[in-house]
Amino acid sequence: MAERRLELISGLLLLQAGLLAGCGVLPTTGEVTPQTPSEDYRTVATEHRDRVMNPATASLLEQGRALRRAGRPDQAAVTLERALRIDPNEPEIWLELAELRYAAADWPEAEQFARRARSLAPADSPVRSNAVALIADALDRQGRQLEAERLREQGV
Amino acid sequence: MPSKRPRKRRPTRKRHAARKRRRGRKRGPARARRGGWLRRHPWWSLAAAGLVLFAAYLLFLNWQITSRFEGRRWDLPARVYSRPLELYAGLDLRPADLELELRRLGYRVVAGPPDRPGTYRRRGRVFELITREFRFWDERQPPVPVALSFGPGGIASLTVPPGRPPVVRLDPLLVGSIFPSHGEDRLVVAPAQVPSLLRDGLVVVEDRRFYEHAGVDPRSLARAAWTNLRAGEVAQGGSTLTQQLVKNYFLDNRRTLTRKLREALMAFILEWHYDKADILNAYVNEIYLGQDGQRAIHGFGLASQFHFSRPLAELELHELALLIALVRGPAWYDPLRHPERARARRDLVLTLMEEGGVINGAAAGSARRRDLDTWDRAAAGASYYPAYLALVRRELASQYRSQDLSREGLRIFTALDPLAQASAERRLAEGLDELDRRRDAAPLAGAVVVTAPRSGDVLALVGDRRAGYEGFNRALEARRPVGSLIKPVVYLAALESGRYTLASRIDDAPIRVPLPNGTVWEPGNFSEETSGQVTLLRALAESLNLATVRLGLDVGVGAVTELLARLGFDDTPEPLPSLLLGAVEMTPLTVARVYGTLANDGFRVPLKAVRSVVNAEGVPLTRFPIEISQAADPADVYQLNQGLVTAMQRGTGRSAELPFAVAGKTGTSDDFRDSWFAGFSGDRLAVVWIGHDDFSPTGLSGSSGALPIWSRIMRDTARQSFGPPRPARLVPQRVDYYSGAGVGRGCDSGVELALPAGAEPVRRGGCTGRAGIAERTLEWLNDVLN
Repeated sequence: MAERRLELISGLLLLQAGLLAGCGVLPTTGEVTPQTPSEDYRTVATEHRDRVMNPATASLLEQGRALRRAGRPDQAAVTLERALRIDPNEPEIWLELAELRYAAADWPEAEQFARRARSLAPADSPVRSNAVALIADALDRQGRQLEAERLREQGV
Repeated sequence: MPSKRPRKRRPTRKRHAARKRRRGRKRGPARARRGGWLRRHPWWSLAAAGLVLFAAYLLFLNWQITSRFEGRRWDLPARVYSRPLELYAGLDLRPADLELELRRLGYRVVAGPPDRPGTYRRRGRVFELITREFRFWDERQPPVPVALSFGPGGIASLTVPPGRPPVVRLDPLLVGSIFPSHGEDRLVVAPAQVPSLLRDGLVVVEDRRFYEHAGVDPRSLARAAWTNLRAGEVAQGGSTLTQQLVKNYFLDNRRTLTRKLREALMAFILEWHYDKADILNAYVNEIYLGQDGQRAIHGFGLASQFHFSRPLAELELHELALLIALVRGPAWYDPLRHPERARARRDLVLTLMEEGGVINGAAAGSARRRDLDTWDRAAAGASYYPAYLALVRRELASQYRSQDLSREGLRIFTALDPLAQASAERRLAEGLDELDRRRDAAPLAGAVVVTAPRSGDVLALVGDRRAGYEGFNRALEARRPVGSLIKPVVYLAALESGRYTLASRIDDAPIRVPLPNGTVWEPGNFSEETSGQVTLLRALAESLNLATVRLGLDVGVGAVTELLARLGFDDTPEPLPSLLLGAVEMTPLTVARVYGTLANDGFRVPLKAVRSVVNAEGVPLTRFPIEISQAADPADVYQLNQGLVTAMQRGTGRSAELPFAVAGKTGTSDDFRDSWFAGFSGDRLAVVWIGHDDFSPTGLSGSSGALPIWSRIMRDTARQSFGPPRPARLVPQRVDYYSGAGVGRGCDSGVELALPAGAEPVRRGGCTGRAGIAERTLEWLNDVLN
């Protein structure tokens, strides 16, 4: 009903519509130009793959790892969370936090952090496969061997 | 006294009998004896009784004053800090924002290169600064000299001394304290942190003979009395610093003789027990120096933060002199309200300091030429955040008793972002003013929550349009119907069922829902029109009620409430069909929690204001780490979020017009009682609520009320486009927005959607390009006409 009415009006309004579309007032559809937000949204997968870690993030991540190795897990966690607040989409930080939880024998948390790392990691990246391996290990530790096996077989 | 006075020389037997009669009044005869003595020496006995009473009184005073001085020392309110601003190359920050942060931290502008902590120099886009030393939860960061330059995208380069990591924390801003209900707030300073100029200045201005007298100074009392007698009024106080301290302890401003006497006695007692240095240090921390709403500013440590936003040890002579000037009348000499008066008094203090030999003439002269230099609290936004502090208190309530918070001097590190908070406060106030001007009704109320969804940090919280107002905190307390904000949950439940994709079709046609109570529920669309067969994408983007109800009933209201709980709603609403259109109440903070799970691709990250707590000595006590748990499949949430991005591009949120991709949803409750907007970019999430406290209609929809405010806050605070990586099991396809059919690149109404790999879009319907144009034109006309 409404659609039919719209079709009727459409003829009358076609001219204005054309003019207005030219002025860019109407929401754009069809061929998207690089400036439109939708383009940002869609190209992110590739953008993500090409991203370079910020030196600040890289430095804090390294610092966090060193602290973990030095047996100072609390300090390591604080440092990694600083890194995370600077670059919350960096899967390596989430993975490192997962490692930290794993080292503290907190398997469910380790699993969750590793899952987050996996969700942010680009396909076929080493971070992703490391995350999957860690999820599987954490599942094993929780007595969920079946899920762990299945995950290792799928490998993603 | 006994009613019958015993007669003298009573026969022994009779006396014995009398004693018997007065059993139970054993002291009778003793009193009688003393009564005899009393009668013989009335004055002596009166004096003795007086002496005993006075001694008791002295003991009482002694107990009162020493327990106050010794036992309590001070209740140390917990100090609450904002997040530290992390400086690094690549940080998307405007030079003006850095400068604002530095000013709020009380960093001093210097002409040459910065030479000590807490100073900076700006030359256009280049900043040089030396950070203050600060003890964070994890480490003590020494003062670091930093040079940084801004480019178009924020900080382009950052130089630190070799060996330091390329990321430096500024000291966090002191944003409030949790003081006891009596309102006394203070920041206690150790004797080493008190500049000697302040000590000496106080002595020459307030109590020249401080080091000589024993608590009370008869000479200055006499002088004051003489001056007052000549002036015919109380023009001068002869109180010593010790007396002033006593007076402050008991906060009694009545000028009665007995109070004066009590004060003097207590001053004597204080001087008897403690040395001058202890008393002066107590004075520096105790004295009342101003009022900020319900908060009473006590001590020079807090007054320094309050008036200059910097530590006491960093104050210069003219600033110290102003604080000394305030002692005489914090309200009368308030530098913000009475700058001239304050300046005159400050200059007098400088003169007295010069005459007293504390400073030389040159120093006094140059200090007199300085402006008051008080920190402009008004220009920098509120200096005190009651709404945010309420959340801090709530979070700590499970681990700390309220007296621990108001007494133990804890330091609480929070996620509060003063820049985001300032934006949220200003945008809400301005937005509501604007809306009020257009409507002829009672003033609107509003609330804002801004978070960093990935870490769960609550960055800003506004519970009232008046910033700094300590009242009904709507962000935490106002439980309001959410209207269409619920719809994403309905659609996610549908996507989770596996029976729908975003390109699936559903009928947007009138629906009658029989309810258990025998009535029939007949919802309608917002536009009062129906659209027939529509895609889920369109139904969500354009917030079509009938399609949503049909979809929700198909997947089951129970599935929706179950999902709502997973996403972070902590209540269990009744699974009634009306819930599908948002007949469920949430606070703005709860909405932020639920939408946070959507922003995090299905991972639930608990929202937190407090990051860590250390004790008064800086020893770590508690840390509140980032937590995360998967609540929904990232692929389902990714699909859903495409709908919320589309809503911002062509649906109910399109008027936001932000330069980066965002996902969001409007919410309007029945009869326009609530106007909501909730949405997120890649790095920020904001929720805005507008309504009336008495639930009367506002006449505003989500997009006409809350959306413009939301959009301005996002423009101020968000930097990253929303764009999560596409989950592997979704494949990008081009489908028609209206029919959901697979279409080619030539189709005008086609949109690119990532859909589950196995789910082939239907062929039926094809490209509806023309109808699309007509409809969009109609929408546009609607926009213009409205």
